[in-house]
Amino acid sequence: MVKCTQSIEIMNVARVSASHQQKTLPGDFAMWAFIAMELSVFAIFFIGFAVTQRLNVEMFNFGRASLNMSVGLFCTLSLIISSYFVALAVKSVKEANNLRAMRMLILSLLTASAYLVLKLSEYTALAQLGYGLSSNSFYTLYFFITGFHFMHVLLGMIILTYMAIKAKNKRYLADDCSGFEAGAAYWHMIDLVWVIIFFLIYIIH
Amino acid sequence: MKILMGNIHFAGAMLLLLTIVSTWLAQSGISVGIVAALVTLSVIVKGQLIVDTFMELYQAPSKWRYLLLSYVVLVPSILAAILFSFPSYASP
Repeated sequence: MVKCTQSIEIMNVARVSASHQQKTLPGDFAMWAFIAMELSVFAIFFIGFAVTQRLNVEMFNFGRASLNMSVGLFCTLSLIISSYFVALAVKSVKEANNLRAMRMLILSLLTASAYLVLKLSEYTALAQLGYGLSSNSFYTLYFFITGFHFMHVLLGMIILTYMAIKAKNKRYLADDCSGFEAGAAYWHMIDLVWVIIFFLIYIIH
Repeated sequence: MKILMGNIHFAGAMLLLLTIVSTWLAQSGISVGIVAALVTLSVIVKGQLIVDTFMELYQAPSKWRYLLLSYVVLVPSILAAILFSFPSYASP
């Protein structure tokens, strides 16, 4: 009876210990601290945009009318699909399948390229209409926020390319892939920020 | 529901669906207040899906998970509050 109670206790301790071990932050702590800072900076820009809009309602309505909502929609869809492939790549690495992870990252890069093409086409169209950073407050904030995000996408794509090359060389281990997870978390942060940009700049009016 | 939490395919499909629905709502001509509430809610749900499923914070330490979840709830809510709740000071 005593032995039975002891073994149940040991099993309970093991279960609690296992549940504590599972609660780990994916990737590196430094990357999550960086993500928290990036999100804070974007939050300040978003609030700045919203406050300026309240002070210049007509200007912002006019500016928003010059944007193509379809471009915003397809940019969002391309980044979501790209993020989906990155999430599948992380799953593949954890299943010790580096080659599948590489293929997922290539698909992710291709869908992210669609975002770049769409965004550049929108910038070109606005430039042809004569709108630029200094046109008015709406365009200043629009180009600043989306341009800042665009640079993050470029950096994210460089990181994903590096991860794909390492995955091609089978450098990631199923139980030691924190670098891969950190890169993936950065990419998802970019996706998360765009979801709010789409809401703020294209949808809400 | 727990089965769906952390399911990448479910999260991806929901994110695409919510994006398309919120775009349709924005162009539907329904009352601004209703659209603003629904679209803000959809952004919060999309943020939660990205944080919990794509970023895998569903199984992460609670403080990190709640830090990011509070971001995806607070930021869209604050933006909607600024844009729709307070009196406008639009220039004539």
